Amino acid sequence: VRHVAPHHWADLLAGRVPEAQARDMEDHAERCRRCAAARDRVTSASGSFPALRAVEAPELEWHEVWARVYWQSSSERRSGQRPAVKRRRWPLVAAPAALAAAGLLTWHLSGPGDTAGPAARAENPASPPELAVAAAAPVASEPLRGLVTFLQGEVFLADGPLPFDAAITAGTRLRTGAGRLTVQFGDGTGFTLGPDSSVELRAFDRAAVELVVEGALSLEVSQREPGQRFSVRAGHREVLVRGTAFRVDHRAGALEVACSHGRVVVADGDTRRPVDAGYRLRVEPGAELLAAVLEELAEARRHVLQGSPTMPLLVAWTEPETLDATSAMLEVRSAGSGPVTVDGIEVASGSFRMRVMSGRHRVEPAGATGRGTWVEARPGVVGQAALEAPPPPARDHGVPARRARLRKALSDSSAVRGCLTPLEKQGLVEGSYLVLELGVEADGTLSHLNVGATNMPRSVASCLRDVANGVEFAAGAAADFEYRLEL
Amino acid sequence: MLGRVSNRSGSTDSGQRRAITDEAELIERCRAGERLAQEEFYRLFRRQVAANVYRVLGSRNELDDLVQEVFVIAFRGLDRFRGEAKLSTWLYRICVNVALGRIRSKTRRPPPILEPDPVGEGVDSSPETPERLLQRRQSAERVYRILDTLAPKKRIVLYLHEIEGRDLKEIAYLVGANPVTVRTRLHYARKEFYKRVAEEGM
Repeated sequence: VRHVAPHHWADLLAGRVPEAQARDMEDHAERCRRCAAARDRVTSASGSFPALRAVEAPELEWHEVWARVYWQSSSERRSGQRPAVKRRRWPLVAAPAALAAAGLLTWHLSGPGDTAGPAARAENPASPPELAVAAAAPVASEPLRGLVTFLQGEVFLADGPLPFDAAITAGTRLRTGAGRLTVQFGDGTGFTLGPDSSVELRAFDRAAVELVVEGALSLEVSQREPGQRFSVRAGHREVLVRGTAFRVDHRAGALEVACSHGRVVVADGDTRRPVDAGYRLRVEPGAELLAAVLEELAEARRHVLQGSPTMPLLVAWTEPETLDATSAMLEVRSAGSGPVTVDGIEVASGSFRMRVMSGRHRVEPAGATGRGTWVEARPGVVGQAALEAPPPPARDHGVPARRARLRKALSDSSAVRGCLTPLEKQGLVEGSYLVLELGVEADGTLSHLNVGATNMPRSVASCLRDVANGVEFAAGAAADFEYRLEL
Repeated sequence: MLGRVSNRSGSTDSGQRRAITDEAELIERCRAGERLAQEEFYRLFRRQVAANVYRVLGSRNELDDLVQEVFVIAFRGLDRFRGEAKLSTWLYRICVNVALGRIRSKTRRPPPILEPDPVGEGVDSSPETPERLLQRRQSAERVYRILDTLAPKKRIVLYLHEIEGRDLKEIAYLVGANPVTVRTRLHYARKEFYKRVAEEGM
């Protein structure tokens, strides 16, 4: 007796079986209890498919998911190619009074008091936002309140350790030893205080923010309140802030201001020196601001400054009290000293505490996917992640050279082209890929060579593997690595 | 803006052109990193994305994490989206791949925090008997239990073909394989799946 294969019942139900064959199958099921039972079960399963297809999404905590999406994607953008800060556009219907005010201010900036010199002014002409500061109506001096979003090492409030849930308000004085912290006080706005530094919030309200710094302070200001005066005081000099991101380092009388996005203006009495994105201004102890050297940041320094992971800010900013109730503390204890990622974003090295949105978060040593852990953090419940020390690095220092050798060998090889002939005939070359897993010993011999993931036919993959097997590696550092060939 | 973009199924040509323009504009603004545009994109597609991932996996465990992953990948990859497929199809492709990654890594992940919540509830709003509801839920549970026994690649193509009703060409695009490979995978997956259905009973 030839039984009916179960999947043929599914074909029958889908109308893919010729009528005569369908009759034979039904006749057989009449006589065969086993096949009749199989038919009924397949029918039942197939009958449930339309209902499964129509299932709708369950309700999720949509706002929370969005907050995490935005956190991750905006952090990635910050650490990569962040778009330039948009300059405000000025309405063409400016009132005569505003024009007069602007004219007066322009005269003030470019008059005898401005000792920056024509070269500096030509290089960095006064920008419209400067005019706006003078022309805008004063705002109410409603107090601001900051939240600690990152804490690492020795950080003090007055003489005691800074509690993570401390409210940062006007008059607060923060100090670090071997540690650093980040405080957020607006949407995309906050500061990070570096090691052995201090900051005093001399003014901290909607009308004015004035921070007095000694040591290293990085600021990110995505948007100021209309008319708000925002400045950082470093000794007798002042850094005037527009929408921007920059770093101030003020130690023993020397001042360095490096700007990564937007623009800042350093002021000393009537002397003003603008610093645009990608530049730094360094004033030596006892030197005049006019004599300070404005120089372009080296590519590496700019990259570090722009990709600096020192500003872990919450993605959404509403009322600090609301954020208190919806965010949570994540405590990361790392046995190693390497960088740690939270939700795929590199945050800091070693152990630290940070503020996260409520929910589950992935904590991993950077570059060690799979060795991390999932942590649940809720308001009132500290999420705790313990990371073990990484295994000693081995066999990875030879990877770049080995990979380069393999790339060269496979890129201009007639043997490779021969392997790909079957794919070319089917028009399937584009989009095909192959991952080879290799081990190369110090003497250049292959310890292993496997085909990993691929979407090529097995014969083509084997052919390419054989080509790779024939590549001669020079003696050098041993290496285990994966090589992805994309066509 | 939300209304205009979501009105993609407008009946007039001009309405459709407008919707397409709006969608293109939304994509452009998202590419520029505009937060409001990204939030709008998220609002437009969040339920569709969650439903897609939920249906592929048959469980809401870690669903919020997976939805997050889909959108992060989407924002990262919008620069490379050239409109060769519909935006919803492109997003569906990301959903499929994220779900596939989830299936593959299931054994390496921590035990779920949330209780299992099998697909099958709330399929339609028409009243039905508790017995029928129970039967349908059990049926859905069994389908997913058997799907769980298949290799991830087979499971995905079987799900897309048998449950979602997609054709080989679509599946090939969604899983990033060629149609011949998909057909082969599907053949073996169907044999395996229905054999288990017949053995286990529904």
